[in-house]
Amino acid sequence: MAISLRNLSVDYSLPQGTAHALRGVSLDIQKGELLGLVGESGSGKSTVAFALMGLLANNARVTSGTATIDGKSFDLTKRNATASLRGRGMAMIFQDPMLSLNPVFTIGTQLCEVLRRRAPGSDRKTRVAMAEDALDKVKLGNPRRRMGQYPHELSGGMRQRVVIAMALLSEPALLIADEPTTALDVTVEAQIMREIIGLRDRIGCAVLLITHSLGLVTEYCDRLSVLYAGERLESGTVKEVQRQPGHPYTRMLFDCEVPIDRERHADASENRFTVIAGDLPDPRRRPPGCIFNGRCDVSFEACATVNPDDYPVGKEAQHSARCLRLLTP
Amino acid sequence: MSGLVATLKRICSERDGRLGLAFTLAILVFALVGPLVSPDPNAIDIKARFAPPELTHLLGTDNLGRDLLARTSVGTRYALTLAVMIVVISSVIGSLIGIVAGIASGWVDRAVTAAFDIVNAFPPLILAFALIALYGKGSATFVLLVTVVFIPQFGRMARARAQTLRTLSFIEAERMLAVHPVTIVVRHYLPNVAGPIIVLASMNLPVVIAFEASLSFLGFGVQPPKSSLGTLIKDGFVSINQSWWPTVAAALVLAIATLGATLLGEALRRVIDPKNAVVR
Amino acid sequence: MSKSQRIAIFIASRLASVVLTMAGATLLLFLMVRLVPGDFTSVMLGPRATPELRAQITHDMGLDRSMIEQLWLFASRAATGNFGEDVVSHRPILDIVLDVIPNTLALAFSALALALIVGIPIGIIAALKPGSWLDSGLALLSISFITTPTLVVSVILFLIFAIGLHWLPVAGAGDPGDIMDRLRHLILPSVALALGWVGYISRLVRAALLDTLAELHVRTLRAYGVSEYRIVGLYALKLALVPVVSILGIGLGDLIGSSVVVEIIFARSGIGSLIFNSIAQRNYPVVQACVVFIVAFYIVANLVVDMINALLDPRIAAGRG
Repeated sequence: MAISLRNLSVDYSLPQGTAHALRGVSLDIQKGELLGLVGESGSGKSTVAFALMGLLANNARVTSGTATIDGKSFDLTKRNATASLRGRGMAMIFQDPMLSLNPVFTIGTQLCEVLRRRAPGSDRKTRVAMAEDALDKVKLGNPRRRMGQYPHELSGGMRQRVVIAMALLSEPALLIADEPTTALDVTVEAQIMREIIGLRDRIGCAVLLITHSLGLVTEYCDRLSVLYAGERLESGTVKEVQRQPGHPYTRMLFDCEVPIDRERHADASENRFTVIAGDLPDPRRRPPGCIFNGRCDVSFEACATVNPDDYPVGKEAQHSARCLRLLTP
Repeated sequence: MSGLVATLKRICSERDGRLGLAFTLAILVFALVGPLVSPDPNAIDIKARFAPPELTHLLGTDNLGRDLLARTSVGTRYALTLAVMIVVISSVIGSLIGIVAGIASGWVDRAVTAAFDIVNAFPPLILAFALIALYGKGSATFVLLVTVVFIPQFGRMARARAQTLRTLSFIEAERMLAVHPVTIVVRHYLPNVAGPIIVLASMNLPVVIAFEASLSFLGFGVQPPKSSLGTLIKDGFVSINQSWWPTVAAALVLAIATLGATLLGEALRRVIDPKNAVVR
Repeated sequence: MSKSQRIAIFIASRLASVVLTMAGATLLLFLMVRLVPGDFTSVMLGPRATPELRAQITHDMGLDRSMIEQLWLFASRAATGNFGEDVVSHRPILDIVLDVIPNTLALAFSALALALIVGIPIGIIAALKPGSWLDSGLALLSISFITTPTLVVSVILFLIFAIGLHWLPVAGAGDPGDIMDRLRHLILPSVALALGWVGYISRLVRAALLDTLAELHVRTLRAYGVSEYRIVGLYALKLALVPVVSILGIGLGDLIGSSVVVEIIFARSGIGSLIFNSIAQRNYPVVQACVVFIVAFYIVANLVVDMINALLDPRIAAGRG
């Protein structure tokens, strides 16, 4: 069964005014599918995750949004709409594994805590066994020893494996991974991503991977959605979007990536990088028209006044983008 | 000056700050104005002893018929003066020692830290006791000895701050440019240490006030004929069976003074110290 | 390096610094006393001074030997508990001190226990609903507790119960044989001592709890659906108690210091009143012995606090955190 998110809008009330962090974001993830949610800092991608989990900060308000998970509908404007799913239907992996684990309790205690919720009524021995099994599955050597260790005794990569083990134990229908590798070395990144995929293979859950790294998405994800300044601009399969980006922003993002075999000049200062000029718009005041207008290199007059709907891109099903250029073939 | 006004405004913007400022000002006014509007604090009038509050004696009289309003305000004034002196001296000396220790490191640092640890190994009241018992009573000695008790606190704070600053790049840059050490200290260390020290000083003020009151109560602080709130409480306590009013009057003023100073100090802390910002 | 090895090293290094501090404090004490202006024996004996007595004291206390020898004498004797004999009563000073210590200890511990029992729950309640009227009210209450000096609290309590209501005894420590009586005599002094700490501990617990609850690992627990009560009571509390435990060490020292005032007002015998009276009688050897005891106790209390901290937060024993 699928996960679908419709029309999610979130406001943050700040001393300087109300910031409309998310505006009408919609997503779909199939069972067993890895969806990459890509966006730069400030695009609001983490907010999507927290809104789904019901973990938004106190100054945040969900003004609209419904989520359907495994057939059940949840009205996200209510604060604890998805509370019943926590630890059972949904699991989340956070960015910094050091901060995500309680420093004064052992790994074992924290894993077993998840099991209390997932398998109520089980006795301690069963829980310990299940926890050790999970640690084994994420390829953490010597699980018994790990159970008695504290987070600070493990390296960053190992801690993230523990966090994945926690998610494994809760057997979710939806796994949200919020920048799971950003705080880790590049060498560890591949291992952790493989673990996440392994989890998906084992449980068959839907995975929402939130990241700023296009490289990660193109390498591991099935589909992707592009988020910019709180709005979804494009969605499609990774292959299709790469082949034929529907939105100028997506195209520019791909252009910014430096291929590893690109020619380099002898004088290092001659190397040129593609950048997207300009800044994010003020979240308190959304300008009329397309949100990307102003930084777009192919915009025309109508872009400043008309807010584009979702239009299909190419002939591939489920590839769509919000750009007026798609109206003219 | 504008900084001062801005600080005052920020303090008044929260309830605790307003209360603290109000109480402190009330006490200050009481201490300064009191003697002017009341009879001579030393005028003994046995016939009027232990009188409750009335028109001629707004706060009543003590065991010797002396006007309590006059005595309490004089006592408050003296107590505040002593406390401020002690806090100022110990914070200045403590900061200097702390900065030197923080910069110098090595054996100087170790020696200073050991000295602080040793002084702190004694509960403050006991240490003050022992020192005063051995080296004599009297206000001058009192200020000196109590200052010693409070120096380590300021020293520790200054030292910690100095150590943090020492590793900052702009200080390293200046050292490499061979700027004279004293100049570096004055231009960079002092302004950055001043903030936390001022906050610590304002938070210690009520502590010192209570400290002096306790010592004076036990006879170790202010000596007659001078009086402070502590001695007034003692005088009242001795004859508490005949009238509870003198004791309560002095105790109440002490409580309000410490409450006001604490609230003000806390408000000041919130204003001055937004997470240890560094002044360049 | 195994866990127990690390803990052993931690304990050893703490013990070493404790011994050093104790040595330094003893030295300071010794110097303080010896450097009293004027002739030591005359000052000490006061009006009782006769040439014969002075000679005897000089000899007994080793004042006729070199400073180094005196220091060694003092330190080595003190370490074995030999503080000499009291000039007035001829009882071993050690006994005099040991007689009164239990009273003060009982007072200090019951005050501390009271402060914890009342203060921690108040802090938890305030942290569960930050910003509410309840929180503001408790805050005001706590602050007034903290700022009112022990002197004032004791005096007011004494007034209320000595002059006004006569529910509780206001003087003495009670009949030695009767536990209930002793407990009744403990109530007022303990409350007087504990009040300030109730306020302080409740503010501390509230702040530490709020800080901990904002940390990201709590977010993980919430993400997995763990109930808020379990989070606060089990996980957050353990971390939040670390600063509270640290304070306890200082608290014990402060309590012993403040106990002087309380012991005088409530006419309890204890190390505080012993020091006070000995100072009044210029009985410096007794004062010296008392201070040594108090300092030793204070240092040991801080050591115990460090140990407990290391147990609560394993990062400390590992050298980080």
